[in-house]
Amino acid sequence: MTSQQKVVTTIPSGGREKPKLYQLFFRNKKGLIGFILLVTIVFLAVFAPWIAPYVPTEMHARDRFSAPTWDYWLGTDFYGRDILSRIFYAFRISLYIAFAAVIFAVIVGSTLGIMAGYFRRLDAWIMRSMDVMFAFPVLLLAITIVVILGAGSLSAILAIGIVYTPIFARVARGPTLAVKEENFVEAAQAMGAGSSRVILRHILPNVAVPIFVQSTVELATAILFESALSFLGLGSKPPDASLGLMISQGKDFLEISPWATVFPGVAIALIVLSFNLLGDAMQEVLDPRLRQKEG
Amino acid sequence: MWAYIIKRLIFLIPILFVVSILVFLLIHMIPGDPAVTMLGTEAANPETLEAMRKKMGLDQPVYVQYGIWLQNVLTGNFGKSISSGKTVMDLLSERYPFTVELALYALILSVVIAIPLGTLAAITRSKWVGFIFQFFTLIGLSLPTFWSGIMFILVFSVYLRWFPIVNFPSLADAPLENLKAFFLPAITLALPNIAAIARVVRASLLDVRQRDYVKTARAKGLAEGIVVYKHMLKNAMIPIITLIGIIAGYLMGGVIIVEHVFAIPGLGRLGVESITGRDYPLLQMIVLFGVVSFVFVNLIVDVLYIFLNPKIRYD
Repeated sequence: MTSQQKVVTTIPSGGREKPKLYQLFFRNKKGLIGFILLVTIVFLAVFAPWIAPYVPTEMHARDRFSAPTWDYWLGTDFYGRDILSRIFYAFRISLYIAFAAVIFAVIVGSTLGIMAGYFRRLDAWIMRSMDVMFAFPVLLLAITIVVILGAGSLSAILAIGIVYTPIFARVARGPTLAVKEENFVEAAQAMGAGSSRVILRHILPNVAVPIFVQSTVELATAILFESALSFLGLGSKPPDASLGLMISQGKDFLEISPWATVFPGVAIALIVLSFNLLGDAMQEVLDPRLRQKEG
Repeated sequence: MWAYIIKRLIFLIPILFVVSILVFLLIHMIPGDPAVTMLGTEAANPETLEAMRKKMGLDQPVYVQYGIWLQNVLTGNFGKSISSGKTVMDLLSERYPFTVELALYALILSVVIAIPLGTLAAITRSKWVGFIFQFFTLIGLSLPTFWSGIMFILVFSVYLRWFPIVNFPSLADAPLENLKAFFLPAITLALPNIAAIARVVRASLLDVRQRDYVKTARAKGLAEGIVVYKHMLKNAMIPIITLIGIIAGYLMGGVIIVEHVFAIPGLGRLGVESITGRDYPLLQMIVLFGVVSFVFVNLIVDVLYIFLNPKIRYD
């Protein structure tokens, strides 16, 4: 919490130039740690084929259930596969599914939310259908969608994306309603700007920040969501390395080789933690009230 | 207040109607012929298959099938489970109490643990306590529930042998043993919620700390405990209750995972079993039951909300 105190004292009382948002963000300790953590994970995921000590599906029959050693830093599983290498590859799947799902939800959700806020006639229709979606418990709806589409990465993306769509519709609708009433929008309309121009030039920039903050929060939950689906056997298929699947396979041999279950869980927690840190930092930086309160 | 409840109940009717159509269509969209699943190997005979399809109403148009289904559901005829042969109604009433107990137990644990924790973090001047609080709540929010459940089993059941595994007596038969057996699952389900609630408790207490009425209370020379409880906590309750309401709903999803991990014979586990067993009539009713429960939980939360907060009136 000392970090926030520093942030507050660096806000100039006069004279000096106001620090940019991203500068405030990196002076925030949570923001900095979260950023470094995420960059590291993304690096490991992208360069997995070059960094990972073994091929993730390679089975070492003699070294089944090996405890962590110099050869296998995090041990091996039931098939003698290297857990560290599998975690690097699993980072790819987790990040890919979470990002794709959240991007889907951001595009569809904010389009619906902006349309609902901007066009009076559509408002009731769009928001009532979002309410119906909110009536479903999220995990139950996602599971049902995956069962319909058949288990796999693409189904997981669609399921999580659809479930998150109403969240972004709500986040986008609020600022749209507010901005629509502003003088500069009325002026633009009076000068003959069409709806698409007003939305792109005036509404979108105002919706972008809350959507961005919300996406960071939802990326954290999407990672947890994906791992839960693959834990239940509804995500990526074996022999692909997916963190949830690794835990579900490892749990049957908990007493012989706890590491096969422990480390993938730590890996999930680290990705989620990095997004949570970033989300916290963004909210603290963007909300000046929070900035002082935290001090 | 009663007018509000009645109004909300009336609003529920169209929502539940749309939900029922969606649930019906969703399950209808699952690939595969239910008649084939019902018959198993006998489906090889085209005449038997055709007879079965007719018997199940599958030769009718979709909207007629929906009408028949809705009529059955409304009259309490939930159909039969394919895999176990029991009626869906029997299965639901057998399993539902476990799920409700788990969710309520977790909710109570979350609130009872989170409010003192968040309060402590808000009133402390110690930087270390503040740091430890931030650290553990962020970790708590980042752990996957199924993994922390497995870790609890590993440490407390396998290594320390404090808690039994795979033995869940009903609450009525053996209340104490039941509460003990459900402790690990409930705390697993509660963990992320404890973190979330404690953070909101701290934030909203910090928010009211600067208010004039709190300063006045202090200036009057009231004891610190009274200031915190009577003047700060009570006024900080609104955002806390909002969050507890949201969490009450999310617990309904969490139970699916926790029941699966701890092998609790509840509705969530029954749902996962019905997926792996392709028992779609059962799955359909579980999904419908889950959604309806969720809708009513939200209603109860909203009503409690006005009850506890006289400043708000929904007119």
